[in-house]
Amino acid sequence: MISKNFFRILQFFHRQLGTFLTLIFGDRLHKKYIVTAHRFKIFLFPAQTNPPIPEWALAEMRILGSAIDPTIYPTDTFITSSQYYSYPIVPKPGQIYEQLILQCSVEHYAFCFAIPWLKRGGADFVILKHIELAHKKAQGKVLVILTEPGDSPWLNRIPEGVDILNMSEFVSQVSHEEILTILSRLLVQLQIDVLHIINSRHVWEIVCRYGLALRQRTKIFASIYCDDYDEYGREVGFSRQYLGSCYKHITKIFSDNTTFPQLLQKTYGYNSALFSVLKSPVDIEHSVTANRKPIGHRVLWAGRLDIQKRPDLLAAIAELMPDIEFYVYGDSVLQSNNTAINTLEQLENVVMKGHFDGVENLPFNEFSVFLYTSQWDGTPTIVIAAALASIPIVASCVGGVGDIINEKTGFPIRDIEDVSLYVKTIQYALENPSEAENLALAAKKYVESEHAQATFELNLFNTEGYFNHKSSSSQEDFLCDV
Amino acid sequence: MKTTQSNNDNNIDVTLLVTFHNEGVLAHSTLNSIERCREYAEKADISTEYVWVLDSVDEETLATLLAHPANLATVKMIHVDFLDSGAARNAGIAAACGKAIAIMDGDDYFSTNWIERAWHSLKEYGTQAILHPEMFISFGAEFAYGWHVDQLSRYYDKHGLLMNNYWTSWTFALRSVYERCPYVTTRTAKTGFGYEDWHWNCETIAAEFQHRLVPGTIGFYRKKKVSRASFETSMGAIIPPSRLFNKNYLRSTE
Repeated sequence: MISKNFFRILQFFHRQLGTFLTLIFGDRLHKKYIVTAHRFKIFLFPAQTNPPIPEWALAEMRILGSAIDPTIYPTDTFITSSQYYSYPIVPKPGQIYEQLILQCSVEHYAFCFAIPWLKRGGADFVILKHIELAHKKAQGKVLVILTEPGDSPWLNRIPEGVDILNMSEFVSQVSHEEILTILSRLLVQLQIDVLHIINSRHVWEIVCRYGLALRQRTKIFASIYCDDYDEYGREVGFSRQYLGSCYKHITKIFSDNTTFPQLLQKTYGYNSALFSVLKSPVDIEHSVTANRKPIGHRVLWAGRLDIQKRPDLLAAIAELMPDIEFYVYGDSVLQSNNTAINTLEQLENVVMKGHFDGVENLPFNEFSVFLYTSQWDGTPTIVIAAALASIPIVASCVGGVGDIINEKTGFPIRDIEDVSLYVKTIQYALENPSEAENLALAAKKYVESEHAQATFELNLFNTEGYFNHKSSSSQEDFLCDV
Repeated sequence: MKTTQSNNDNNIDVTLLVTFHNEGVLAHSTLNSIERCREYAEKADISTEYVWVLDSVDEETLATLLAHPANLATVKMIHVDFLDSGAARNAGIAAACGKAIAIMDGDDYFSTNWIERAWHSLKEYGTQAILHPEMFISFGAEFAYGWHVDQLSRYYDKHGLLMNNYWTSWTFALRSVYERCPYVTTRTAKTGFGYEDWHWNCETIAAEFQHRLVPGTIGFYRKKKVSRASFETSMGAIIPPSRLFNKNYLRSTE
């Protein structure tokens, strides 16, 4: 170890000295210096020296150097400046690849959904709807790849018969580049008809790099919802980071709202035909549609207690309305806002109900108002579910919320930072229950028509290449005749 | 495809298949090197033939080839317009009559004994062998040297082929091997697929051929500032689907 470190230190000084001598005395001295340094290296550190070019090879190089091309004559400079190259044998990624592909029940898939994980959330609910529909249409030929590290509590909701590859357990075992190679090889080998990317960072990156190759066989679709924001307030997200590099390879991009594609078209000049609004379906059968029996003046808030959902706004509103009870359902999943959570926990008029397993388990009927405070979003499942439950909604008007909640269907808050506006509006809704309930019925009607499962299915069936895929090339084009 | 066909195709031992694109005058030195290999093999009673595949060659390359002393009537000169190494080699293979074929590129050099040693090694290793020179030496834009990987050595691991190619495109095998496993046409700029030699190596391994080395032989690789491999890398190319990575193949080898 000492010898190795000493070697590295000398190597550093050798490089600096080599550069210095070349600068001062020119190339001729540099060549002499390199040869001398190489001889010292072999003498002092035989263990650090790569196998030399064998004598028989040098003899042939002398002959060919004289007879064919002097460039390959093994001069001292040639020998000392030649880098030894050893073919890298890196078996781990290949072993992981083999482990994964052997879990596949078939050699070819009609659908592959590339998702990060399957947590309890709105986007995850929509993912499940996509998977269920694909499974219904192409039974036994649907694959789900989980690409990012993280738990997936809703994995048990994926229908039986759908193959699941969990890449996340291997992410820590190999490099990022190797993960991309494993994933891209899977996507190429499995001859997928339709690849649908929903929030998988790895597969977005793969489409940027290898999209041209992938689309020779596979139609690529992606779902986008809204921007995220970084610590500078900049818009970030998959659409911002990757779309510019790979939009040419994508057949269609689905968005659950009209606002976000319009923003991207306006900002980057994408053709509007690239996008398609696909409103998220709701489970009308399992939704809360029983008769409403609100208990007193109580407000319901539900969602992830993350920065995006603005629990701080909720806390500020609750603080200004001490006579109103706020029931808060949900826990922190991504980036929590601990200060806001602490404040909420300390407020006497706030009841923290914790985790809930799906919107269908929320007691919308028992509350007078549903409050929604997100700073950014697509079309939130929770708002759709609330509308379907006919509860009056006071909502920050962001992303696709405006598609559902407007002055004819509820109480949109357009200046989303104005706490007093929320307070006044909630107060108004509570004091005018009849008007509020009528608006809520209009919201329900809108959702029943626009977010029906049948509408969702029809939109997908009408999407060119999604359910009527025709492959342009087959794997047999590339294989030898065995 | 336009072919300048020679006569007397019977009993050829080895076809020297050389592909040219736009090597210019460099093709001259390469042919000088290959001529040494050919003459050395002929002295050892190994009969040879030339198949030169000219794939969209530029005028300078064409003039260089036509003027070379090796350009006799016996050379099968095939003019194609594929702009694709795999397709060009396949065209040459279709015209080849040798029992074995040596695949060579139009700007590389080879040790004088390459063809002679490979022919005898093929007899020693058997019909499943695909041979490579033992050593490679890069020259030109970069000097480097090393050894190819012998599939029967301890160093070889088939799992590593997912990440890296172990062999250059210089191969020597029975003609039937190339006929059974033709090169893939990639047309990288159009398809995003590339590295036809890496793909061919994978396909041949899946077809149970063995990549072996010929002791005491060298291939000299001319490293260019912008090579085809670096173009493929910049294009974000990946190798096309290969049987080596298929589920059913992998299951059969478990």
